[in-house]
Amino acid sequence: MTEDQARLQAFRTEVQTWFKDNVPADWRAGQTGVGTEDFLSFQRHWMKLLVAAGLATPHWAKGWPGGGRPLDEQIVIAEEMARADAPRLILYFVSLYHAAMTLMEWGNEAQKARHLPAILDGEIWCQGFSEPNAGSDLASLKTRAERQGDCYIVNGQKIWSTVGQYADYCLLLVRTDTTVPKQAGITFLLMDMKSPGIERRPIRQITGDEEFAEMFLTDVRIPVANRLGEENAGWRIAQTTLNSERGLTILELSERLSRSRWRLLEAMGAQDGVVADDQLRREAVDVFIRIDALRALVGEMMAKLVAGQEVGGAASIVKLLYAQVLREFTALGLRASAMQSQLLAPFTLGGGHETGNWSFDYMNSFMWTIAGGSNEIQRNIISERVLGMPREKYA
Amino acid sequence: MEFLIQQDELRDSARRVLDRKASRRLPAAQDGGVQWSDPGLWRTIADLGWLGIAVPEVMGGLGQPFYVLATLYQELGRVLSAQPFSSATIGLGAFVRCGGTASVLVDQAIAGDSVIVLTSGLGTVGASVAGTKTVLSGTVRTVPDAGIATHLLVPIDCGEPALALVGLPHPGVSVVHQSTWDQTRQVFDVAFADAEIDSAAVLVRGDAATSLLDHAAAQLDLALACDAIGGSDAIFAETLDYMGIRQQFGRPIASFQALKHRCADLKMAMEASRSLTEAACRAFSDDCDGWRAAAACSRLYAGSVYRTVTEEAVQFHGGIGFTWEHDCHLFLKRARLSEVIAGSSEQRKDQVAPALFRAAYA
Repeated sequence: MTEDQARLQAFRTEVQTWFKDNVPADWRAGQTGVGTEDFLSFQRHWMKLLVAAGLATPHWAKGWPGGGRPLDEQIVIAEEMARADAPRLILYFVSLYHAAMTLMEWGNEAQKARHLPAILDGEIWCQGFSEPNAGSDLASLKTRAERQGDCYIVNGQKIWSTVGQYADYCLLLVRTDTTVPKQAGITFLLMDMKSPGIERRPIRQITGDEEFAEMFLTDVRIPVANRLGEENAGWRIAQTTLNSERGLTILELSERLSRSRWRLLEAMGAQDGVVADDQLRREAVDVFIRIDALRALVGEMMAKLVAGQEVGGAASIVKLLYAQVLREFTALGLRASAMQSQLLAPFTLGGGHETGNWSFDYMNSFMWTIAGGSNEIQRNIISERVLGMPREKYA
Repeated sequence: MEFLIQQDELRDSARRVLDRKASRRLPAAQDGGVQWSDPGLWRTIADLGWLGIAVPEVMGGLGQPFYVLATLYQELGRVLSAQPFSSATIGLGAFVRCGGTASVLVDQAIAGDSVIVLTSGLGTVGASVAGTKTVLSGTVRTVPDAGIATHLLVPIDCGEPALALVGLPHPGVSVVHQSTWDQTRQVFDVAFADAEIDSAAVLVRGDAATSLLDHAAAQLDLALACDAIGGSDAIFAETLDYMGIRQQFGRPIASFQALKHRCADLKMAMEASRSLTEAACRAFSDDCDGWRAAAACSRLYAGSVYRTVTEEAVQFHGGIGFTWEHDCHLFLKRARLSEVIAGSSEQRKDQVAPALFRAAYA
């Protein structure tokens, strides 16, 4: 065993033990069919535990509590989280990754001092990037910010802000120059969600769950001191935000999917691991093989990241693959469980993508084929950047 | 092992040796149909030590792990090779695992002068003992490369599974070529009509034979998975080139988003099956838990991707892809044959299901 392997093995044991001792055994039942308040208080509780154990912030810079973990140890945490079937920390995900990573790279000392400790204490962040007419074509965003003394006056509409209805702060992209190419006129602001002029509404998804919000901004005053980086330099900063996960999310989700395979067999009425129906059995084999392929490909990508290499288009390939395999998995579970899954049943909040409520899981899988760069956008990226096919003409 | 061959170096040198498109089609079959597509290339392959690359050094091989050999399966798949390389290496590997007493034969097989073919396939061969002799009867259908073999390693049923070595020609043993749609490979029906062999030629029996056959079946699955990956890669690259040149409506057809997205899907599937297969080759090399299922899964996935890639290649080439003259159909037909060697995909899924489903509850 090399020194690295020994270090990782020791760390894995430590993390495994922690999760074993701390993941509430009955949390899935406890978070099924509950209201917002129960969800929020459980997420707060889980966040406190993870922060105290240093397991919420391994990706933060050295010097911060829990921070400075090398990527291979972050991978161990993600894997063990999946193995332990730990609750997903969805209320704080944007805070811990998008907000924290962007602040650490681009924030000034005052901004870092104001927000990073607050995030550890549970400050909730959301992302104000997408707009009704700026989805896949994010850079065409139109929310306007006019400089007025030491404030920006912001008007516009944002949509698909994860946990936006609960957020204390928002990573906001605004247009500050309409006369230049679209990417060159965007500024990155930090918006206090208590500011007057913000109206937010939860968006009810096709699952019935409400994980996102839309925001209407009317003459919202944001101090210039809350600008991240220079005016009109926001597009580049936004790339940091969008790349803040470094493959860890897809790794964790692939592991969770893999560990949920038994649910599909249950849906097929497996007896002692035997599925009697030829068609279903063979389709389950196909999906399981693709799950293993996904994990192999994610593993390759993570190994490259650990070695400090560029992954390029591999991230798009992995995302497209995950989205498709998740769809296949949930659609097959839905089919196999037949009428049973057509009857309404309560769903689990923060339970990830494989809850065993097959209609919910199937509907929820569309999140992955649409959000974070739709399958179609990923296919553009793969065909143009990986395969070198001619580019689309973009406005 | 004293040294480890670097896979990319081996790949580069393999490409230099194999890069001849002309050898993609076997010449039209002459009487009996048994062909050596390119005996000179076979000689080169033997001289480079490829046949014994994974044979232990004490047996005269290069003692490399299986995944090094797998690189060659990929490269031979890339050029649609007609060389009986996978059959010869699987047969030799199985023979070595039998205990390898006849090291003269191992030497000859490494040198390319003998070819041992394992007659796993469709059908069983029964065996009965008569004194010091064992009598074989039965037919195994559609065995790749059997007509080129100097020796057959025959799975037999003599009350328990066993393996017998039969040198060719042998009284009562016929090896008959069957014409296939695939123009790049040859398959043969191997029939035993009360063929009498020395009982000493029954090399292993019982559990040892079963485990040896499992090992060889996994190696065949991985060889075909690698072949599929190499072939997919080659025809996909040629298809992309063509799409960049072919103009319709005043623009290259590669610029149409409807086609780009289909190419992206193919690339995704190719990457996924490549990654899965490489992991399976490592697991097989290192004797990791689950290597048998991993090998079968690789073949299932890489095989289905090869099928899809070659179907799309014909489609994207349009009219020219539908012609005999163009090479697209050679890849398509090779993909279709590979999927059904030694059983259908459905049978393979049924075989692998118990192991995969057990793992799902682990």
